[in-house]
Amino acid sequence: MNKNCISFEKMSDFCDNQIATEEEKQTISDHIEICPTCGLEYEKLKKTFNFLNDYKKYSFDLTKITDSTMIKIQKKERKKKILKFVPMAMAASLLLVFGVSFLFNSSNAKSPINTEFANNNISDSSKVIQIIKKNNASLLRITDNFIEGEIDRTDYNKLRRELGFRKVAYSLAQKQIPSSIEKRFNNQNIKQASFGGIDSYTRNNIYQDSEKIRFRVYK
Amino acid sequence: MSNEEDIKIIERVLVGETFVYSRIIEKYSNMVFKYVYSQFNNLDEAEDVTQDVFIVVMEALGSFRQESKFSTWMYSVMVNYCKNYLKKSRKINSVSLNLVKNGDEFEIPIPDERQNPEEEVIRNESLQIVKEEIDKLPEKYRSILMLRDIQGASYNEISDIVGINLSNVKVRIHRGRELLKNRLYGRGLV
Repeated sequence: MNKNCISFEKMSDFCDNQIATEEEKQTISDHIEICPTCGLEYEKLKKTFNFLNDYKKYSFDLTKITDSTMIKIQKKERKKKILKFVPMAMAASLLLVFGVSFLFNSSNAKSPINTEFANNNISDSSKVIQIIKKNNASLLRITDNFIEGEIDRTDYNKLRRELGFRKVAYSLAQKQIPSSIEKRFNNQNIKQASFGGIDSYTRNNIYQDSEKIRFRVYK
Repeated sequence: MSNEEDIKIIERVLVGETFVYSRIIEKYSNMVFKYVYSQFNNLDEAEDVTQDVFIVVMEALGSFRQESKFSTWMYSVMVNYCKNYLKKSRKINSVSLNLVKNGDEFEIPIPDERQNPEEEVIRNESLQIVKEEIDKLPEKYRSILMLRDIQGASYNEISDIVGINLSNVKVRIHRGRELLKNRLYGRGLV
């Protein structure tokens, strides 16, 4: 191989029609004709290109690939459509469930149970008052948050049972000691009244235990 | 079918006319199959992967921005899919099909369940040799040679598809052709 011989890259470009100028193409072509080494290499490469070209044109029978790919695609499309429909169906069924339950509730709105439910607070307060009165307890206060009353110690347990689930705070009721005899009872079984920390009296009021229980029924 | 015709088909597929996609498969199935076959060298696997490639391409059609020819974009999807598939399949442990009995090794016979396996292979003996020799090329030369000399992609397109620079593409093409020429010479074909 002499210095004028064609490099493999040039020959490869020549066979692939990638030589930019006509002049260079001519130079390569001329050299191949006169140089036996380059001529032989060119023949081998040209044949290689021909085989590659034949393989490029060769057609595999791939009809079944087209068919089976299209079947797979159609299956996937169907799945996609179903998956798209699932959230919509879920939303629709939820809407249906809520709608039906709403209709059911509104159709029964006039029933006594529902009135009781709607006016729960009012009816429960009157119930509590009824229970208190029935148990011979005295009603002391009715506020927005609780109903306060007083009952004999012996009757408290029955009252508590009848009040059932309601939240009740209670304390031993205490009598206020007149200030004149305050000193006599000082440090003798005297304490401040409280409802478990919920309520408290002023520090200066002094009380004495009695046979009564004071209670609060919370709304 | 030109790139413009490809685009028209794609637009129809995108609006829901999925059935026209068969024309894209018919047009490119041989090109895609040859590339895939050169990567896997197993006919059944090549057929399966070819189908997968067309499905993946169709699912990704929405992301085709028409900045390149459709074929270029499709080949890049194909190349990436094959690369990932090979990576995954390498991770799967394979079990030897050889059975050792009394120190001697026997091959476990596996019947070919295809109806006419001979029909699938290349009928032309010379082309069969060409294919075999292409398959034996190192991967970095083989895929680029396939893209250039079988798929007909330009140097620039190959650079985009494979993601390497233009000079590297040229070097690999020349090296691949030189190796193939020498191998075919060794087989008495050139």
